Amino acid sequence: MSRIAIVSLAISPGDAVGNDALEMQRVLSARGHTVALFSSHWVKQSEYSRDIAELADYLADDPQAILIYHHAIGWTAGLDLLRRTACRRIVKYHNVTPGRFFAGFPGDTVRICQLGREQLRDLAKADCDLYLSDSPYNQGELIDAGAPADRCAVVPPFHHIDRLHNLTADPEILRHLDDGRANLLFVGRRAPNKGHRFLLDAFAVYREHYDRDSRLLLVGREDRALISYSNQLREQASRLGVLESVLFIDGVTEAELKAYYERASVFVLTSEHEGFCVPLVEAMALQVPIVAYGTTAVPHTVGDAGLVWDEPDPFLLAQSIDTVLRDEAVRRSLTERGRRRYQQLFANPRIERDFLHALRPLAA
Amino acid sequence: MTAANKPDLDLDELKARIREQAASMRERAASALPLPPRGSSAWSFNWLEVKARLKIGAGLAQLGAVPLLPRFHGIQRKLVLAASRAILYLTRFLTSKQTDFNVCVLDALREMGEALHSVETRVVQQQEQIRLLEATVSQLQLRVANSSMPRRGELERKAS
Repeated sequence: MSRIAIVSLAISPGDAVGNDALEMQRVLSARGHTVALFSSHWVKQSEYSRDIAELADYLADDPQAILIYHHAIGWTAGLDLLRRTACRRIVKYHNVTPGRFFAGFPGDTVRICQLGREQLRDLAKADCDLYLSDSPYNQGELIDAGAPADRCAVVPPFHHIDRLHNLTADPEILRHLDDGRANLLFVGRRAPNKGHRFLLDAFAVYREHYDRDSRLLLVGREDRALISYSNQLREQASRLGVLESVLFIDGVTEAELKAYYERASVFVLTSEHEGFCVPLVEAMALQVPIVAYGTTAVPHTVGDAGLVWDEPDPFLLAQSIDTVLRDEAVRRSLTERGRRRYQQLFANPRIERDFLHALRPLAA
Repeated sequence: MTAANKPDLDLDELKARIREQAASMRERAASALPLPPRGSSAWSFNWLEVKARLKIGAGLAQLGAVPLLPRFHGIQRKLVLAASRAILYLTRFLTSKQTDFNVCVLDALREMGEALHSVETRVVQQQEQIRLLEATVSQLQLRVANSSMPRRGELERKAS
């Protein structure tokens, strides 16, 4: 059995990378490996992870130990550590949002994102034993950056959907949304790469020409550094005359999130950059039909389980939403395809099989 | 045409149809006047959003709690915790009042929000009742008009 360290800049159960790392730990521990999580002490640490400064002691120069490094943002100390470590090394690439999306917003997000993308080349050339990617799109980026294709594998990220399935949806939110209005749902961080502006345009068209009672639920964490982005969105919604029907919802619990999915009429995604997009899988698992702008990894994640378009045309998106909501057969077919796709490709037991299969040469 | 009578959905066919419908809607929209804003919606507020923000505020309201300090371990952690407690003790003449203030304001806002929400719900229900009553009055007016027409004709005949 191996000693395994899972390293990420930050690990918390509230985000995609954190859920992936935590579930990897569970899966590997269940197979008898000794597994610990490590994250930077410069960011808010969770109870789940140890300080990265303890990593060297933990690995104790054991060449048979394994380091799994999650790459999702620029982190110089993490990259240095990976290079210095003598044990077997695995990179899990979750994608890094290009910095250009954050240009003009306060904070150093542009720099950190650019750094993350530059470090992708360093990671690809670091001669690691295995390169895992969330999606074929991410794998393509890794190979383009110089990673050896024969050491690359696609393993979707583990997620919290089993927990969502098992808990009771928040009754107050269920009650509040149970008023017969159509609920268009988007789940994701409130950040410029998520394409909220296209979504607001599409919602304004839908509301004006199809259903004046509909409501748009934007569920996702608001980054304090990006408050001006939120303000821009509110201004845009106000300009379009739909502000009162757009709900900006931050800080939801899993029970609340489940309630939003349960009352969602359709899941609409207009993100401009996604490395995988876990909320799409949540929508499939919770039987919500999907309408999406098909950029980056989105077409692969959705497959044939949603209406995916090459352009974020508001009329096209609005007409798609209307078709999904009015045509029961289309709706049923898409949700059934989503359920099947989730079971076949993205359910945790399936991801566990893919993950262990990819690791087999290293952690028998 | 719906996809109800098909064994499985042909996505390409469906997307082609949606594209056509979207194009025709775009043409219609370009020539149509925008609809006026709805009267009833001018009053509503986003209760779920207010509730979510109040919840975040409640998490930040308590100033006197010892921080978790997860980055410190062992003896270093004990020292930092002791220092935190000392600082919190010395500043509690400020923080306790601020915490009380935060909690009071949040409680008041929560109550106001709930009151507004219930008033809004009542207004919506009353608007719905008014709408139903108006529809009933219209129907009655129509019936009165219909039934009075032959009667008026009869009276006119008698008068002549």
